[in-house]
Amino acid sequence: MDDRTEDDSSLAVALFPTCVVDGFRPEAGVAAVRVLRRLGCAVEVPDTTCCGQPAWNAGQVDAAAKVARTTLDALTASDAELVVVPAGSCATMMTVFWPELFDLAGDDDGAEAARALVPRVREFSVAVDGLTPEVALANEAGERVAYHRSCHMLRELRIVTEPERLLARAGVTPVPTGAEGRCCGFGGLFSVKLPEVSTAMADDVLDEVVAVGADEVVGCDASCLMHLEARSNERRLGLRFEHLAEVLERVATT
Amino acid sequence: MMPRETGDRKAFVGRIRDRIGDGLPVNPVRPVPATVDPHGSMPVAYVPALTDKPASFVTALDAVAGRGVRVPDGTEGLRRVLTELCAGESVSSAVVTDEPACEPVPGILAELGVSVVRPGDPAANAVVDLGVTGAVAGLARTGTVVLDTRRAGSRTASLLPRVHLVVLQEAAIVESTGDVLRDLARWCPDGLPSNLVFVTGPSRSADIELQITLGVHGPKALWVAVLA
Amino acid sequence: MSGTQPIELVPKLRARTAAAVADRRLGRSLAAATDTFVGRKAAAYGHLADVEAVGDEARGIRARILARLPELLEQLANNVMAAGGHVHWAGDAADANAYIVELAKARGVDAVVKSKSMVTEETALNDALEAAGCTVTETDLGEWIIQVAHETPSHIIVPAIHKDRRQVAETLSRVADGDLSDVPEELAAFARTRLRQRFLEAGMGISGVNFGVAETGSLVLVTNEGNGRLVTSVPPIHVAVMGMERVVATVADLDVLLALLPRAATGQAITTYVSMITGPRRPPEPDGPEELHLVLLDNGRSDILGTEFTEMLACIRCGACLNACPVYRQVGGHAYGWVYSGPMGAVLTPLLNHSDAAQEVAQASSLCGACWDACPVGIPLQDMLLGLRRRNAEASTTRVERMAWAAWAATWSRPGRYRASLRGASRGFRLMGSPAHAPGHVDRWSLGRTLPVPGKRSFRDLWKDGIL
Repeated sequence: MDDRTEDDSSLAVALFPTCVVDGFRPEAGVAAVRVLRRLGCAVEVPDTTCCGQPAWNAGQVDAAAKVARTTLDALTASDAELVVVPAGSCATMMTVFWPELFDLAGDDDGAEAARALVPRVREFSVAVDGLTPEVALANEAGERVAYHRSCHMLRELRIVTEPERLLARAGVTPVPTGAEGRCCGFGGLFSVKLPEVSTAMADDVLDEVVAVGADEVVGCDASCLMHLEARSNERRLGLRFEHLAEVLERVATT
Repeated sequence: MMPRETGDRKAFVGRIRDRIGDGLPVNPVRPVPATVDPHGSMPVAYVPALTDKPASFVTALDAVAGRGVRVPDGTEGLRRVLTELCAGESVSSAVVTDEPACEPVPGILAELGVSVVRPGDPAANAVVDLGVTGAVAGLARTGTVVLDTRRAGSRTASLLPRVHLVVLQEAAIVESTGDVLRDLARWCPDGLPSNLVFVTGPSRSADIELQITLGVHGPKALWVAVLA
Repeated sequence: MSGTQPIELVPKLRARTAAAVADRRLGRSLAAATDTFVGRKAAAYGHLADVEAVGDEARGIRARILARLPELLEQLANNVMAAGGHVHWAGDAADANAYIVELAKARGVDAVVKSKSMVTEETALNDALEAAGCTVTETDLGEWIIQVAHETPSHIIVPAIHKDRRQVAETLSRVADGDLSDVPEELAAFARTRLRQRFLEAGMGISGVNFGVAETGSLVLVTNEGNGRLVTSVPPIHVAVMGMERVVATVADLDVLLALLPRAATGQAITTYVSMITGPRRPPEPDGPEELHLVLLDNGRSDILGTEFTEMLACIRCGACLNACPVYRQVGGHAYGWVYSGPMGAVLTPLLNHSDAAQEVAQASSLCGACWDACPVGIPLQDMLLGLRRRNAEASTTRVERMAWAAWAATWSRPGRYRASLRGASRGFRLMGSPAHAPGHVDRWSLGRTLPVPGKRSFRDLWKDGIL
């Protein structure tokens, strides 16, 4: 299963699928592996679980640290050059908040390991964009999609250009909606603490997507897409939702 | 009346000092960046660069619903401005402050048939149509006039009438607030007045559906005569 | 030192927000208003040569001030007195209100005019003055509207943002001789005439303070309508109430913060009026108040200093975080339940108001970070919301919640059990439509949303089986 047995010139990549992709959107994980392989990466999938964010956002430090430590240890044990994460939110949890989380939990070893891991972590679109600076992914699909800039990607990791550049290079035109950077209303447990607000926030994003005539929403966070899709399905809007990895896997021919 | 201090300063300040202790905690994720100068504050830089400050002043004032008029010919020009203003704004009474820049104004207004009162009494200022004051400075970026109410001889002459005319010397126009605030000794050589006011356009409110309405409390119209 | 009693912290946060979401007219008003503000702010920030540098500078200035708070407050007080003003150090709201009520009694004041001040909303000063027999008139147009309507502000800059012109006309008609039209100009003209009389009659004017400049003893007020100038110029007594963290060290600090406050608040390069008030009127000035009283207020602020929430005291009350917040956009200010709303309110309410009901307001955020992005002085509001949730979790996690989180952590910290739980969830979803392993009220997900169905096989199962 580890790709790296035959070709030692390939770039070793450890994929952390994240719990949401793992459980709810396995297609995105499959697509991420295929895209990375196509770009010459040797992919491994260490025995990770979750980054701990659900508990962290609820203020539950100990539960968050316990779960995060499992994933941290699995990734630390890998000697892959890069750790690729197909979720801006989980990548944020790992690179921005993990050191603080382990500090607060009194886990000094964990904090040290987290700080050592941070430079190896790449959000999926950044990893792919970095691997293919000149190579065109292009085909002539010419689809009209709305790109959703998820909050942590946009404001914590400041990742804006990479995913949209990849989409453009894949022949997919992101349609401006004016609501690209507006929160989808998921926010983990926020979506169940204040469900009415959360749902209204999803509508605020979806209404703009519908208004510009896009029929698909693409993003880099399966959790946000899952939330928008759940609301869209309830309203029978007929929109499709895909992770960037799925789009690239589908249209990229190189 | 001698200034009086009440309440418990020592306890108030002591509590804060205790809380600060040896220093305030630092956000582990987003530490505060060190300021360039640990004591002073860097001047704010704006774009685009200004080439003609008086022209920029008038443009900026127009943009906030004020009316800037450049006056190259002294008293004659001031007469033109006042004639147009009094006709256009239906002015029949005015309060004029004692500043040097306003010196020719009462005479001109008298010729125009406008009754003039001296500044001071708020109740009297409240019922006149026009207030005329000078200004210590103008700010080109924003079309702002800076009123020193001690020199202007009144706080309310610029505030209570429905029209306010400022007589501003072109040479007193600088770029922005920082040029005044960072050099107060130049602009207020006798120390700060009880009221130094930066005025930018007529009184405005956006409290009903964010729609701009003018003159809700202060003047509904602000004219500035920029004297060369 | 506790905050004021809760005024509208019942019912619970969810009920308050759900009711606000159901009000479609409110939603439309909020969307239009906040979009307008966000657009204007972006345009006004365009005049700054280096937005990031100014923002960093401002954050640094505010941090430096907080670290020097004791000496700066003493310097401010000394300089206010040197300019002829009186100073009162008020430990809490009751102390501040008592001082002002006593002053009004001692001077025989029965009519008071006020300009907009959030800090006196916090101390409920109007109630105290009215209880002592004074007539209090709010003179900011928006504040006056909500005073007549017996409501509280729903936005820090635009207090009546929740009312459309028709509702404003209905409200003000209550104090007019007949029905008013709903034309904003005519409503504003009515306010001018009616309130002008109040200014001239008032024995005392009460204002807040945007910045108190320690090195000059100046109190700076930033307004647009001119009522702030009237309140501080026409009545014979001016009382300025200032939260202690509003102090700045120098006029140079003031320059930087003045460049940001109006840009962030309303998208203006500068507000119509910026008043620097240094002492009461003095000879030869012919008008202005004979007395100036500065009331410095702690009211729980010092308790925030030295904690992980310290930087909240750097807030300059511009309202930019409200305008940027997707939650505020849906619910408006009243749903937050207290004086301060939006992200800054979600942080300040639990910190200043120690009631249990105030603590859950920290939940009113999806942690999207738009507030942090919008903040002109770079306060990491999302970190503080997380901090408050940690504090709440420590203080009040129920036994059931604790067990649920422990069970989740025990399961998801073991890869084998984690995989089994995903399989179980998948089967559970397919059988019953509800997951078994996740804590919290996951059933609430199905409110308005079609529950997502887990993959028949997880990614990891596909990987292990070598299908990839």
